[in-house]
Formats: sequence, structure tokens, C-alpha cells
Amino acid sequence: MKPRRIWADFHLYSRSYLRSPEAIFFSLIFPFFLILMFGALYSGGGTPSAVPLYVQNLDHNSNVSESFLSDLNRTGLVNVAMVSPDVSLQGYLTSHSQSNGLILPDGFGANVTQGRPSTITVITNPYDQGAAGLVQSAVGYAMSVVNQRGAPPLVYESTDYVGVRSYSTIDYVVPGLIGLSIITSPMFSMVTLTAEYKKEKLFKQLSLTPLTKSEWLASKIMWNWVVVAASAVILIATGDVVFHAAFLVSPYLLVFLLIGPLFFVSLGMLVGTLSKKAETAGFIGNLITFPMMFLSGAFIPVSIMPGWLQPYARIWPLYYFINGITDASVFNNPGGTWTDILITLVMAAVTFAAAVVLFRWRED
Amino acid sequence: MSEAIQVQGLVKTYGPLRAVDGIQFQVNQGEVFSFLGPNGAGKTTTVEILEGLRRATEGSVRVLGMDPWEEGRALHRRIGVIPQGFKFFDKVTPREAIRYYAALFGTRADPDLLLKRVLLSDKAQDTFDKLSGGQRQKLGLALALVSDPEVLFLDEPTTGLDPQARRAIWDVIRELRTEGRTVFLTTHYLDEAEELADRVAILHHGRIITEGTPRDLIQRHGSPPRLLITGPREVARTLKAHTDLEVQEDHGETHVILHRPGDLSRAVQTLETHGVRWEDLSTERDSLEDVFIRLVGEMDEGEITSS
Ligand SMILES: Nc1ncnc2c1ncn2[C@@H]1O[C@H](COP(=O)(O)OP(=O)(O)O)[C@@H](O)[C@H]1O
Ligand SMILES: [Mg+2]
Repeated sequence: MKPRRIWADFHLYSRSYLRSPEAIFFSLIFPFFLILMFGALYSGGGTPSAVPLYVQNLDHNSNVSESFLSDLNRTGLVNVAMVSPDVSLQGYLTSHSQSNGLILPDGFGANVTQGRPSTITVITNPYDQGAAGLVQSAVGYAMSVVNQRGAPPLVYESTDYVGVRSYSTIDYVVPGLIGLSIITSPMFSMVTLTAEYKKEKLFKQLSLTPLTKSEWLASKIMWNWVVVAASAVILIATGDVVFHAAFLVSPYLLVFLLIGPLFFVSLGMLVGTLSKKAETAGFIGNLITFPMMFLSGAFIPVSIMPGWLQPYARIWPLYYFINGITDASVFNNPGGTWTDILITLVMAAVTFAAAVVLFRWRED
Repeated sequence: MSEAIQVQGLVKTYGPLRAVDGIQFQVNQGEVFSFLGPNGAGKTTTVEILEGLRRATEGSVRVLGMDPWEEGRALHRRIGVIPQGFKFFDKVTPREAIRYYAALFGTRADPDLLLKRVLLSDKAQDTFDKLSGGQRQKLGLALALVSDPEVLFLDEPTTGLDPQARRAIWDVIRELRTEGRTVFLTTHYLDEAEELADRVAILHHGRIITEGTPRDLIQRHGSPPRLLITGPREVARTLKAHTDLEVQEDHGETHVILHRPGDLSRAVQTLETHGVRWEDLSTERDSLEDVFIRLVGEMDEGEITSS
């Protein structure tokens, strides 16, 4: 790879990209409209949508447990629903497609009054950081009320505590739409570009110059870094100024903005190069892009999707980008981000390698 | 080494189709060599094999001593190409395109000089999608010259262009020859081959039917030159009566077929001697087109009767 040639190709491609109004519209103006639309939709009255929390009270309805539950409800982050003590809560949640539960143990009230420690069990879905965050915040609040009364510390069995803040759906919109830019700008431009270059024999033309396939691909990835970063800036700024969406700009965000185009530029090129005709390429591209956008939480946060649908979010690569950005920038939870970085990085590396190997400049 | 291109026993099949069916030729350095043939003859297939863009099914191909498929990257630095129906990136101007190629090749080509050379200076700032067919081909030519190539491959560079653009491109091709570059030119225009080529190979159904200088081909395959005389009917009558020349009459014109070198002066002298006045005298010979149509026609007929 020669930097001089990558730069020359980057320079030429960026210029022709900027001269095409459709490209500018879809990569920069469209995200702006989307965030205005979804922001208005989700910020509605400003009330955060509460997460249903299924509670099993094994403490035979003592006063202490009753007041604990009313404190929980008062946060507005959760809607407490009672489950009979006779069933298994895990089984109940599974059969009702729910993932958030809480068990107050037998003797909870007596322990609190007599100064003995107690363990409450919190069940959350580790893949649904949004809902988990709300539940943990609510529980944390109710515990702090008990603790203020001078009782010994309460312990609960959950690890990912993410700090107390009430989250609203608008907070998920920014990561979701950044995820949308990460997939659409590279995918749409690369699928059409590859199919068109093949049809117009431009790849053949390029193969007669010293430019190599990986140099060509590298320059496209670089340009998509610019485009995705620009649309992320637009989304974050609009989210902050117009909707006061919580969003932390961290190095982790940058990592996803770098891996994203690497992955989707390569994927778009693979789709374009492996399909025989331009129309097929467009069709296959949409077949991959559209379900991925809807099911990975780009428009609708995964946490408010129907429970049965939520596990299917995890089969789409884009989910890990959105999940990672949400962890890093909304929940300020870098620990949860690392898994997503690892998963996306491996996918991107494999796809890039496949694109370079399978992509043919010339025919046999 | 005096051969720029050497081809032996070249075959290219697409499934059952033998698009190139065992051809053999060589192109000397500094020569303009033309591949002449109708659509589907196998011209583009051959050119792209020479450029290393397609792989030969059988046979051996050498361009500047290299195997184009195996040593493409090295070869591409020494050849220039205009593919058939040359296209470039829609939103890029000719000047940017030349700068781009110069950066890729690492050469110091001056965009303004190159554009002037192909007569495209006035369109230096227009994007490719705004250029006419002829202007696009001129850009193709300019790009092919960026790397200062020894051999140029031009695949139907003037197809579909207006006469003025064709002439402009012909001028550049003549200049390339003067500079000592080798040019491999495919065309389905006979006048183009006749005008530009040192040697021509006529290709039909993947085979070379004949090969030589345009003059050779006409002499070998054309009918003999003719003397055309306009004048009274007496002209034909006198010639028939007093010579053994082959004389034909055609709409008040007398045609004398010039089989032997002395035929022309004998005809004129005979008319002088007998005091026959004529109005106009001219000679006519077959063009490459006549040869081409005859050869291709004979070949197709042969095919029909034999099948
Ligand atoms: N990639 C290809 N696949 C299948 N058939 C092809 C391909 N390229 C050319 N052909 C066929 O090979 C024959 C020669 O084509 P081509 O070399 O383009 O001829 P020309 O350039 O003289 O018009 C034609 O019949 C054409 O349809
Ligand atoms: Mg052709």
C-alpha cells in the first residue's frame, strides 16, 4: 500500500462525492431530519417511559417491604407489578417475555428493623443495558431511602450498576441514529458504486493503473470515516441542543466510528462484487440493510421492543455498534463496551480480508 | 528486440463460443497495427488479452517481452489503453482525471499540456458526465498518455464520433507514430485503417482472414485499377475495335480494366491516334472497404454452403 496512491484516490473520490447532491442529502441532511423526527416522537411530554418490574415479595407484605416498593414506584423509572410468591420468578418472567424482576427475601422487614443485613435479588437482561440501567437506578434509589434511616447496608445481587440518572427514550435515539449512519452511508454508497463501476468497466480501467484493490478500498473507508464522523457530529449536536439528550463524547465512541465504516464499506463492496448484476446487488444490499436497521435498535431502542423480538436484535452486526455506543456514551459504562469493540473488530477484519480476496478487478 | 507484440496460436473460448480461434501475428516496434473486423469478430477479446485484462484459453502472448496476465502490473506501467466505449467517473473533470493518473503512476504529466495535445483544453473544468462522445475519447487518449507509454492499445477509438472529432483523434495517432510509439488500433472503419495503419489484419469470427499493408491487401484481394473515361460512345467502340483491352460501358462512362502496366498509355494513345475526344479521365482502385466486403462475404457464403 502506497500512501501517495491512497491519497490521490481519496482526493478524487471525495471531490466527486461532494459533487453529488443525493450523496450529501443521504449522508448529512437526512440524519438531521431523522433526529428531529425521532426526537419529537420520543421526547413527547418529557416523561421517561417506565420499565415493567415484576416483584415477588417473600416477606409476607411487611410494612418495610411495602414502603420499599412504593419508593421504587415513586422513581417513575419502573412500574412495579406483583407476582405470586408461589411461582418461580425466573420461570414467570420467561413465560411472560419479560426480563426485569426483583425478589424481596423472607424476613426482609425484620432484618431491616433489627439492623441485620439482607440480600435482595435483581434480575435484569445483561444485553438490555437500557432497561437494566433503569431498574438498577430505581432499586438504588429505594435502597438509599432505607439506608438513610440508619439501617445496615442492603446488598443486592447484580453487578452492572451504572449510576443514578433517569434515562429517557430520547437518550437512545442518538446512538441509534449514529448506528444508522454507520450502516447506511457506507452500505448504500458502496453497493451502488461497486455495481456501477463493474457495469461501466471502471474497475478494469483502474486495474490498468498502479492502484491496488486494497488501496482503493482503503481510500473508500477513509472517506466514509469522514462522512460518518460528520453525521455523528450533526446528530450529537442536534440531540444535545434540541432535546437535551444525554450523550458523552468519549474515545470509545471514536473507536466505533472507526470500526463501523471499515466493516460496512467492506460488506457493501462484497455484496456489490459478488452479485452478477447491478439490480441484484441493490436488492441484496437492501435485504441486509433494512432488517438490520430496524432490528438492531437504530430506530426503536431494543429495550422497548417486544420481549420476544429482543433476542433477534443480537444476530445483526449493527446491534453491537449501537449497544457499544449506548454503553459508552449514554451509560458511561466502558466495561460493557469492550465486548462490543471486540466483536465488531473481529467482524470488520474478517469482512475486509474477504472483500480484498474475493473482489476481482479483471475477469478470467 | 524489434517486436512489441507477439501472438501465437491464441484461442479464447466463452463456453462453447470460440471468440478468438487460433490467431497468430506480430507487431513491430514503432508500427501502427490495425485489427479490422465487424462487431463480434473478437477484437476486444484479443486486445484485452494483450492488456492482461483477460486470460488466454490457449496460446502464447508477449507484449514488450512480458506475459500480460502474469506480469500485468509491470506491463501496465509501459502501455497506455483506451478501452472500447471509454468511461470515467461522472463527477470528475479532465484536469482532475489527469492529475489523478499522474499521482497513481508517479509521473509529472502536465495536465494543461496533455489536454492541449488532444484538443480538450476548453473542457478542462467540465465534469465527465457533461462531455460529448468525442471529448470523452479525447480524455481517454490523454489518460493513456499520462504514463508516457511505449505501446498504446486503442479499441475502436472513433466509433460513433462526428467526422471532426475523428480527424482530431487521427491526428494524435499519427503524432504518436512519429514519436516512435507502437499503436495497436482496432476499428471497424476501413478508411481509418487505410488512413492510419502500417499493417492491417482482417479479423472475422475469431480468425485472421488476411494480413498486410493496406496497399498489399488491395492489390492481393481487390480487383485491378480502372481507367474511367467520360465522353461519347465512340470512345468504347474505338477501344474495342483497336485494342484487346477489357472495356465496359456504364451510363455514358467507359471503364478500362488496367490488367497490365502498359494498359493505361495504350488506351490513351489509341484514342489520340483515332482523334476521339473525351471529356474527363480518371483512375479508380478498390478501397479497403471493397476488399473487406468481398472477403467477409466470401467467407460467410462458404460457411453457409458448407453447413
Ligand atoms: N465476457 C464474455 N462472455 C461471453 N461472451 C463474450 C464475452 N466477451 C465477448 N464475448 C463474445 O465473444 C465474441 C467476440 O466479442 P468481442 O471480442 O467483444 O468482439 P469485437 O470487439 O470484435 O466486437 C462475441 O460473440 C461476444 O458476444
Ligand atoms: Mg469490441
